[in-house]
Amino acid sequence: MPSILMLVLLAAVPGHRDWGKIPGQCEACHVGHGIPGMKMAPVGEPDLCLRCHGGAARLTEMVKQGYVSASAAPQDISRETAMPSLHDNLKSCSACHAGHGIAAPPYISGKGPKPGTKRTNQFEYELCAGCHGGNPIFQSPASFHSVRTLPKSGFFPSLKSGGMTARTWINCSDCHGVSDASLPRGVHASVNAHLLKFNDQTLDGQAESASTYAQCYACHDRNSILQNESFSLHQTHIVNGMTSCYSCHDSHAGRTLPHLLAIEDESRNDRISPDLHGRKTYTQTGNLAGVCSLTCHGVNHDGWAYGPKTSLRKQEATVPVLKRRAQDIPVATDKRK
Amino acid sequence: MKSLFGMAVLGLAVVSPGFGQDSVANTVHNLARSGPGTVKSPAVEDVCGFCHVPHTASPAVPLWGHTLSSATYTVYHSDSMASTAVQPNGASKLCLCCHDGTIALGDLKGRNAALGALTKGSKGYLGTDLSGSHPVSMVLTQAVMDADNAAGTPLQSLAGMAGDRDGVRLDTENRVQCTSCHDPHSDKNYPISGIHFWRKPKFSEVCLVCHPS
Repeated sequence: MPSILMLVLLAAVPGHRDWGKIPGQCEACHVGHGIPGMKMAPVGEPDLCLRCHGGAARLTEMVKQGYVSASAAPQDISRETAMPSLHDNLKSCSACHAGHGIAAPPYISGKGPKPGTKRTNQFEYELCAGCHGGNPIFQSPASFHSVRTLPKSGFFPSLKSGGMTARTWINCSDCHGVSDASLPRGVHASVNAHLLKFNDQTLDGQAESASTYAQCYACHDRNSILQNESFSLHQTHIVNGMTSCYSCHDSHAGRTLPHLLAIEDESRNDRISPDLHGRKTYTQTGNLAGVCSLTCHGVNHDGWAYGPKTSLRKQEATVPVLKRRAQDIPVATDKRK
Repeated sequence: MKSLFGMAVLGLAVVSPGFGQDSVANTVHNLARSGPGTVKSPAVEDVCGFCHVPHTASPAVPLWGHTLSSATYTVYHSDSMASTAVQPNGASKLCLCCHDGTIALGDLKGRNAALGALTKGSKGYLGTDLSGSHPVSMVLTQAVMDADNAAGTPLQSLAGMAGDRDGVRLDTENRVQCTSCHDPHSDKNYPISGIHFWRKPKFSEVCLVCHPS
């Protein structure tokens, strides 16, 4: 019992108030009268935080001035600051982090917030929603990755074996975060677009490979996808048609459609347009079965149906092999004219 | 004996960095001709007269003799602070009549000591944007403090705050004021703290009176 109590106490002592590591105490970060807008800090963010977390040279200066112990070893995110995908340009560390630290948060279900993030958040996604509340995953989407809720039922044949199931919770930071696993964890920066841990091409016209869609393949088995275990025309679209996962799916949620499909969204207007009847719809007709009425990669899907037992009206070979990038591909071409 | 006493005093002056600065006359708040700082009025002799008058004072306590500022301030805000930020009042209002830079230092009741206002960038200048400064003038009740603690601002109890021997405490209405951290009459800790009129030798020692680690 004492050991359990000790663990709780240790968890409740956050690093920034560990005066052994920070002999400068409050003064390491604060002044009585800071610059306007900063909470009693002499410089803005992220410079304030980078004085200790921004590389050896800056840290050495803080140690020299007696603010920080030489043995403190704070996380160094200086390499992240040079990455092209920076979380809001690291303008506000305090948007996510509680500088004074927080007590160990309760874990009710799913996954809890990361250490050092704000106390008011019970779950990590709540922290993210503070800025990204407009994301469809925070609305009431028809389908979603299991960040806020778990699906009531479902069949997910592409999930990798080894623990992931339809009942597995997902954190935002499972997909988003630093691209180099040797660097401090955290959604600070990545060499990949959208601050993803792995590469994920969103433009069409890319040759399919394990690395082209590495982010999706981190959880979804590539072999299963390409063997059409979930959607009977995955290989046709992804390999032959060089269509990106993003073109049909939203990685967060499907606002109105199942399977995280986004083909009705305005965000896909650059690549998906109405069919010749003016329809831009997807209709689920059964388990692993549906009907597409839209025009994509120049092909009019005029109510095309698919399903595990339903052969496509058109032959797969009619889907053209794309050689150009999405922005070069004409959309809504009416070949009957 | 006298020489021994004199040597002892001299010795204290050498080993005690703040020696003499516990008298306002020896601080930069002495704006009279005898003041040790660079901001002062050669025409004024009385040390106390820049802040106090014996008669017709406003407010009467503490016999205030400097023209007050009518500025509206941008005040501190933080998600981790449950207290409602308010415009400076009480003793803080008195400090700001010089430190907000809107009123001339020499604008005294009944006379003009010919000393201009603090300008942006000069030492002691705070301006009217106090959003980066420690909040002042809000009344702390136990309910407010409980809410602050819950919001992430650790606060000592009112009784605990009142017990500091160096006078780091709330005012008589349980409000934080500039004078909670600064003693305008004594700069004895400046040589160590580097912060004028700081109530303790170390910066953090003042913070930790109210904000326990």
